[in-house]
Amino acid sequence: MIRFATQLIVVFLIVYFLGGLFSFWISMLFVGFTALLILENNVAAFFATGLGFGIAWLSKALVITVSTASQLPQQMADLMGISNENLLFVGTFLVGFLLGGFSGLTGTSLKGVFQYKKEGYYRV
Amino acid sequence: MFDSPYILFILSMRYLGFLVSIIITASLGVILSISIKTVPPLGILLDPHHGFWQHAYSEDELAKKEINLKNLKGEVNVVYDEYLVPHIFAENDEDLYRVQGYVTAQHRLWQMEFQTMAASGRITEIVGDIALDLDRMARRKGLPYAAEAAMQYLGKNEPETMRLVEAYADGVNQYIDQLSLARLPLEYKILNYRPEPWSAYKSMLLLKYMADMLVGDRDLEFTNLRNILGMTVLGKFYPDFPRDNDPIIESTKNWDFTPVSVEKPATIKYPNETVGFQNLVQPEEGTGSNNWAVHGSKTASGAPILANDPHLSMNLPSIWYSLQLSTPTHTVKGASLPGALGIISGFNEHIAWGVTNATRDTRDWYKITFKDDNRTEYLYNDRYIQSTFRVETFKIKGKVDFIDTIVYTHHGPIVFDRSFRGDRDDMNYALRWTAHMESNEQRTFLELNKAKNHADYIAALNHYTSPAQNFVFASKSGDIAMKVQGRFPLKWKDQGKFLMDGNDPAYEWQGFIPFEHNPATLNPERGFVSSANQHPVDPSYPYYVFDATYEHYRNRRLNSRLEELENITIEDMQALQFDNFHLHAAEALPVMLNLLGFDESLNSDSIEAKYFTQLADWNYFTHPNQSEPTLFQVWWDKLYELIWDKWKMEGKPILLPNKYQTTLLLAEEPESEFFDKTETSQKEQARDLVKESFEALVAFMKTWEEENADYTWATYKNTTVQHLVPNFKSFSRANVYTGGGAGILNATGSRHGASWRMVVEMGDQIKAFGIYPGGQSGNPGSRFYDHFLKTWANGEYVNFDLRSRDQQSGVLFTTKFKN
Repeated sequence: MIRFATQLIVVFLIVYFLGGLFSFWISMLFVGFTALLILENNVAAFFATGLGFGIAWLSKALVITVSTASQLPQQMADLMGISNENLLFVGTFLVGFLLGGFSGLTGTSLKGVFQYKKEGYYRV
Repeated sequence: MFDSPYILFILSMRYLGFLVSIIITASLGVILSISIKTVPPLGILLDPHHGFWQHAYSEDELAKKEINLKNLKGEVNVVYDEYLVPHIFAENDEDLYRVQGYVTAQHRLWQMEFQTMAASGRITEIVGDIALDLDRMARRKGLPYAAEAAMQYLGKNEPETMRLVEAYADGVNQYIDQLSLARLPLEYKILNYRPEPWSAYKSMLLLKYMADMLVGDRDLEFTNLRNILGMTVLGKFYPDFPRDNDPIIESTKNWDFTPVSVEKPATIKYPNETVGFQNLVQPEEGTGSNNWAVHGSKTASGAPILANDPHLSMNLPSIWYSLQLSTPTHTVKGASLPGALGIISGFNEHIAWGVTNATRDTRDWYKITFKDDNRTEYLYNDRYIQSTFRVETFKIKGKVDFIDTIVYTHHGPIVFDRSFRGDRDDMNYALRWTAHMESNEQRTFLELNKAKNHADYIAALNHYTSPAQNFVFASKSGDIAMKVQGRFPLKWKDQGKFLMDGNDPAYEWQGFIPFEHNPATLNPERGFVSSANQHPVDPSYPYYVFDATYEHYRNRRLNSRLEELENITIEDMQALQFDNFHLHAAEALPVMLNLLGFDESLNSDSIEAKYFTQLADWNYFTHPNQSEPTLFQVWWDKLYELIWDKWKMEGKPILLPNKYQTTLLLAEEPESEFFDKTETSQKEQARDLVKESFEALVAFMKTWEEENADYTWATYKNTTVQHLVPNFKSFSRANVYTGGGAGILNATGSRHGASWRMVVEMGDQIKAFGIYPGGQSGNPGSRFYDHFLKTWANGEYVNFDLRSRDQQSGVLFTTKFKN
């Protein structure tokens, strides 16, 4: 549980504070790398990194919207044929969740491959 | 142990798991980074660090105190006032325009580029083959060709202009080079493309884009009309001068020059053609402008006052961008066109000027006869001469390139032929247009920006050719002036009104009217100068002047008000720009009501009586809360259709008589044969059509009232300021609550209107006010995107006084540019 929380917080901090410095592709690489270091369970990694990434994106979108009081989210929702602008926040979270979740899953999957090789080496 | 089947299975499953996971992750990343059909790349768009959320920030929240700009010779300070109007203080012209380019791109990059993409026929690269017809038209009418000619002229003859235009381009490009994904304008992200480098050529393209927007011709429609109606009827409904001609240059003007003679051919023989396709897109009704200047003898302060309101398509981002440009030698302020240098309509410390469209037929059509299908030679003066080919490649998003070969003659490009709108193999129409010729309009504005007196103003105009404009002028020294400036072909009477024979040299333009013979006036006795797109002169002017779309109402209302007014103040001039009096209705409605012969006492509770009474009691103003303008407009439109729709023929474009001639016909010849409906055995007169159209009005209003809350003018008119991409509806602003309409001084219709209003008093201390329907920012999420709109709709203004370097008040933020 501690590892899960640690993973989530680390991903959140990376994506929220460093996400502006590079494209979301690079964020995905970082997230995958942290999952490789922190978690071993694929399911836990998927949800921890997904939630960390998604919450970071959602928080950033909320902070921008509240601080600017801009009408842009409503205009974008109308443009995209969405009746409720809140769905844009949901969409932002979901896209972030999927990007983060699969990045984390890939990281732990890679770790799994190497871990097995290591076990085999000691048993010989 | 490795060769155990169980372990091998586990190992392969882990590899497989990793493989599946990385494939899904990579695929997700790719899918979210690309646009699929019309869906933009969602990963980029929704990324709060780089996507649309970033555009919620307004410019003041992103302000930088210092920006490094290469190639600057000195330091440049930019002071933004509370309306985000930049005031650029530079030490020399090159730095000034370099920073103008940078600052304009900061706020309007997407708009600048999109407009030049449209002018160069490249919209297919952004939106796909849906724009192919539009793009082909832009290239076939020679807009890129015209911009290339302007570039060649600048390169050979105008090194100073070229140097400054290149400095501007450098400023734009340095902004593009520094642009992060987060700051990339939102439209690029939605449409999924990136900005190209800017260039001097693109500035030329922008000026050609304006020429295209403002110039029309109806030669092909008149060709069909001549075939259908004959010259006598044509002369009746489309006279060269209207009865109530109230021209730009006062009728008392004495033309103190010897005109250049024009040889008219002994016999005129036009090609026997019926045109079976749509002509070029014409300027929309309502495209026009007002400008005027009143002499100090008519003003309360004793100083001249100048006013200008160009009526253009009302778009977002706004067509205009306001700014002040200052060097140690000059300071100028007003409205600029993003992509062009300097101020287009504005004032400096010595003079003020403004522009309206000087409508004139400067586009003509020639029928070309080629030797054979190869079209390499065409007949001219009964001999075959060489044509040239220009191969145009259209890159189409998601499709293979499209190639269009355009044949050029000495007249100009073949716009319509067998591969474009033509219905016959032998149909080849070449376009001759003054905008294709070498010119340097940019220099006019650079020199006007620095002009100090009337002589400087005239010298600046001598570089201006297209689109022709009426330049109004007022100076601190007390002069007022007007000049109709453009490169006008010398023509014999009726030349260029119809499709002409490209073989016969007699149909060539005879040269050009010398600039010093263009209509102009300085300090006329009546104490004011004015223009509203009407006829430039009265029939005493010694050259042939023709256009099909001259204004007949705004000019008369404007001149009558300027005649009446004395002790004029800035507020009076602002009120006149916002004048909602409907002169056409004032002249037409009494005639229509009389012909209707309605006796409201017969059934005073009927809906017919209600509408009749409303109209009879109307004061002819078109304020947004009034409903009478709606009733009149619907009734007029129905009546107009009943009178003239019988002339329309499928696929054969014509021009219907204007509302001025129609009103005259109603008033003076109500029994005319032109009111007869050919499909009935009865012989109808005006009163029959007036009654039928009134019934149609009642039926229309019944439906309207069922579907809408009210029928006030603002609701019916639905003034909309539309985003340049019409599909981006939420970036547009609809149902703007404001009055006016086409043919009214406040010419705010549904989609066209006063795109910029400026009033300047040229006293010891210059007082200036300006406003436009939009905002300084091109970013739909910024609070400066439409911050002027409500003020504009209410007929109010913001202060536009010149700002000094050391002025501290009303500063939003400042930015220092240094090398």
